Amino acid sequence: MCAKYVLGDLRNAPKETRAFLEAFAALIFVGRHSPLASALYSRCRLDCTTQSMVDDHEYDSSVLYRCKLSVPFSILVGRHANPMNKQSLMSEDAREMIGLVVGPGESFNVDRELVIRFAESIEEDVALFEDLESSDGRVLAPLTFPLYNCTTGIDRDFDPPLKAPRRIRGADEFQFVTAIHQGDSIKATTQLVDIYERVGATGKMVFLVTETTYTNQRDETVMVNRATVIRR
Amino acid sequence: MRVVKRNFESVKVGSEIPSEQKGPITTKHMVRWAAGSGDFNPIHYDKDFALREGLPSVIMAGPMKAAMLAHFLCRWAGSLGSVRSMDCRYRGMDVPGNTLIIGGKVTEKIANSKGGWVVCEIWTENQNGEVTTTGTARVLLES
Repeated sequence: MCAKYVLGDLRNAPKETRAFLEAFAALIFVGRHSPLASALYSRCRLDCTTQSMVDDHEYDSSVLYRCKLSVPFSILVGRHANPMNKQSLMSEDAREMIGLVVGPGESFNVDRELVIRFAESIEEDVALFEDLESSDGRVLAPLTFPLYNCTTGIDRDFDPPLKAPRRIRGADEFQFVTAIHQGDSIKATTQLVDIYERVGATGKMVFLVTETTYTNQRDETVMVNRATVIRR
Repeated sequence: MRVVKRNFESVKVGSEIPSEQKGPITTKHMVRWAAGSGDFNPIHYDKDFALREGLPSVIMAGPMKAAMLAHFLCRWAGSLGSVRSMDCRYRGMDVPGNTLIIGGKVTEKIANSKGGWVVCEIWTENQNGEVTTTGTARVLLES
């Protein structure tokens, strides 16, 4: 009942309201006079704090709200008493990787077939890339095109020692510096800019921030991407 | 397809960029994205894998939505080279069956000698009105 109410009604409520009602619902669940109540209440408040930290990173909120209740419930079954759960997902070795650079990796050639496939996947007419600003008659590549087509020299080359196998992309920043044309040869170089851990309602998460610079065959920077990948 | 270049003076702060619709998104879109972009993370096309990862289904790749947003802006600006920077936060998951409505709004104009910068808020929302991506973009327009 509590879980259903929170899931159904609180998703669009202001953050403070949600936090209060979830703490309240948890208190009802264990009973106001339960010896667990005060400990649980303090845990809920702590949980609300971590929620707002996560919100600052704009992580998918609907998922977090759903999982937020798992903290009080898991306290009830004693999972948080397990010291393993208190351990960090990342070791000091992982933090020492900040600043590390990989690449430039192997270059890849921008060919027309790839451009068409990319355009189709985002429901774009390839004519958009043939007609816009192609003063010299060459086909332009879609924006963001090299992101994964470069298979080395990108963020996936970093494998910091984390106890967090799940991976989801949280945010991207792009600078589109120079147009990419059909026939260009693009390579990537990535730096691990930051790595830090945050506690969310679903548990601990590690944020990896990387900055990748993509260059063409004339060593001109064509695109810079700063990505935040969330591991848990 | 012929597109007309938008000039800086014709843009008003507060005006909305006409929204565009993508989808309904299918697994076919996801597979095409994997092939076209080179992003072969199975959470985007292997439902069994995605469910095991605790996800509701296969989910659209964040950069796929970013690419849609970037070209939505290109079409509005009338030039692929006009969109100079963009940031996106992937706030919600888009699953097969979702229709994406891509929108934007002009929030600021900064003139220079040749035209100027237009700062836009951009977003994607699904058919239920839930915003799944938010971001900002800087578009350079000529006079």
